[in-house]
Amino acid sequence: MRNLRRFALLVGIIVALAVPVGAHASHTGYWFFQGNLPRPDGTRAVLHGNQSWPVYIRISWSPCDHRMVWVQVATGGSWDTGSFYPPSCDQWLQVQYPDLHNNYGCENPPGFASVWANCHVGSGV
Amino acid sequence: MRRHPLMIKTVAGVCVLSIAAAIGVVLAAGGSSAGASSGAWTWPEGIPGSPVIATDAALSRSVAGSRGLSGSAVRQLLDTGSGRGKVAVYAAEGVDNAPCLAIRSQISVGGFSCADASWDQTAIFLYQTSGGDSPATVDRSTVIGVARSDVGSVVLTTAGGARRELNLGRWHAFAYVATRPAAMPRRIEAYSTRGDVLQATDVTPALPVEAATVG
Repeated sequence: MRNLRRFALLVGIIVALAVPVGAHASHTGYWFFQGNLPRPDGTRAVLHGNQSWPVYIRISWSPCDHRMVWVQVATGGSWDTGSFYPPSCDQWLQVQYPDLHNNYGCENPPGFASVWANCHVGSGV
Repeated sequence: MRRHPLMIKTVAGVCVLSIAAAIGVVLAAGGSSAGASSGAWTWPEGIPGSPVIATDAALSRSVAGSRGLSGSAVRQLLDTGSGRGKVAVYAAEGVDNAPCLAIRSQISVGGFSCADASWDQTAIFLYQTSGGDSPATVDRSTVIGVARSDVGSVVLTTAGGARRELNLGRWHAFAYVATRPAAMPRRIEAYSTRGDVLQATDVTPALPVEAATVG
């Protein structure tokens, strides 16, 4: 019985470590999203809006051999995306013309397995 | 020694989950596969590219913000496309003389990524930018990249099924620009000089999908 308790404790620790910390949208601090994509509701992208120039973004994701998409969308419907491929899995970028698009974010393209992503807005490098 | 039935079930459950997780990691590659490395991310002349005489503010910030690149000269390997589809790839020297690559598109300037051990499994460094004037339409897509030393050719397959060998420039950089539906990129393959497939990657343009606004 004692061994069983120890084993249960070990399994509990492993499970706790395996669950990504903060696997939900964060409205505080600089991170605007940390969690899995797709989200539990099935959405594969998260957007953050109303940034002032210049906008610095850092995206990191896991597993590393996953394609990650940076997406910019304007209210009028025009859009641009940038796809990062392996071996990159930690990328920062400067948004060139923030006034061109209202919303920015990270996307896990349809058909791809779940990925854990950090999308971070900063004021400088 | 008699084992508790619950413990046996738990161990079995953990084993099943571990196997499932391993399968999940493999599937997470998302249609990209790469062969074993026999090449290197090196060039005879050291850091490749033409010197960039005057870096603008965005490019300077990119160098300043990339670890180990302070003071490194920026070189341009290739630029292609026009208007919103214009893209360029730059190189600079990182720690221990490692080549570092960065992408500049019309919408963003990326930080430099430096070659390390994790690059050994990748035959081509890739970036893709796509765009459209309405949510469900792709009007342009540009694929740009740099190939490892052992890559002999890079072939891109279009949405229309055409296969096009991309020109590997002096520094093993390549690009493909599409502005018509049938010409949109679907798959890119890197072959060794002997014709072996080193890497095959899905490069279907990524459209914005339904998103959650989180900030």
